[in-house]
Amino acid sequence: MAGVDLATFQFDPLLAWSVFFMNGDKTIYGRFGTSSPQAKRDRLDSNRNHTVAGLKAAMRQALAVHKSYADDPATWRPRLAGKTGAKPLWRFAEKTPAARKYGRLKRVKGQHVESCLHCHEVQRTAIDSYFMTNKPLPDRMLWMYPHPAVVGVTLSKLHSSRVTRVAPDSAASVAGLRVDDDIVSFRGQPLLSVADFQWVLHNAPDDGGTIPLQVKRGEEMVSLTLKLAPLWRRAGDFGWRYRVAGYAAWLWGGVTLVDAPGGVRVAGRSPHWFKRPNRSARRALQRGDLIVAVDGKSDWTRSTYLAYLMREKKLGSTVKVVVMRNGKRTPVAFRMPKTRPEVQGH
Amino acid sequence: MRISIALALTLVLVGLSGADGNTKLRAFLNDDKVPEGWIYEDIDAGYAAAQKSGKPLLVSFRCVP
Repeated sequence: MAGVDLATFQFDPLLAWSVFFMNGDKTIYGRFGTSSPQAKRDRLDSNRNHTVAGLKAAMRQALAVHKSYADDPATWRPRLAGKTGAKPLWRFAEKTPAARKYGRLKRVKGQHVESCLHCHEVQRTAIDSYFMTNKPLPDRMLWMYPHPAVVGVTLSKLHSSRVTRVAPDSAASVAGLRVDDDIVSFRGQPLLSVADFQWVLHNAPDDGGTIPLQVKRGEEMVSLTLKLAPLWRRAGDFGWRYRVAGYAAWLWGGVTLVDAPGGVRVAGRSPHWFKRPNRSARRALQRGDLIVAVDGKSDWTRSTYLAYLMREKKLGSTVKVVVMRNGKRTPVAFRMPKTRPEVQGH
Repeated sequence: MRISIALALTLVLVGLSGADGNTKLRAFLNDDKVPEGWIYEDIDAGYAAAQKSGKPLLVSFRCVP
């Protein structure tokens, strides 16, 4: 990603493959490529979220949008404006403060993998650089590119934007979305693929709001409104993202955490290759522990726990945790690291 | 992460000859065998070609494994 202009090319950094459909004037028609916590959990490569049929559908849609844009640019320019992201804090990943400080991005002769600035490192360098500003990380930087399941929608891998499932009592259900609806526009933007749905969610305010939807239902066009609750992103999970594991090592010693009824379960130890694990946390937490309270608060998920430590705890401070261990509520404590994590290699 | 660009013509990817990237890296990635017509690591050439032809761009990012 070195040299890639992030003012134009913003996409889910976890992807092993990502596509943009564009006009030569740099107007973006849409994106293709998605990953999901389900795929990660099932140890599937992110490309398993893609199908040739889905790519063909996205290409057909791109060609249709291209024609519409050429025929009526005055109407389509504002519809497509939101496809380009807001000005990034750092336009080039290799020029972020973290990348400069840690000197990670030097080319290593003959080591192509190590020399590459990987997509997932764009996320790491951005988060590490934001850390260096000493401001709390916004939800958007952690719960990024939310999966449609966060609002209760499952979209077909074979079509551009066909609804295959609506979760009961979800935001999508309340909005009135139905199975077999084709989403024609989302916040006014045409959808080429699931990635475009995620793009709109990614750019929605952290504190909620409404997003207009237009769907084709049979021969009928239906207008709907999707309501996002305050802190809606936190219903999702970002702990599955590959690069987040490095923060887990830094924060709690590299133990593996999974969401469980009543709290967060310590499932085991993460691989040894994480750098600088937090030994204090590693000693405090044991395999099988169920974290039920942190600093006097309960109702944690893996993601909210990780976000709390990353954003609200001071370096070197003490984290007081209550775990269920052998059937008993057991208080334990560990110290936060004294320094920020360094950008790690591949 | 390498970048390659092609022009979409109906549903077929058609590209243009383009700037050469790092030869050794391309060989490592087997990208020295990319179909003729893809533009490799030269987005500006892609924009120019798309504007000249009036066709849309397909820009592909893929991970160096």
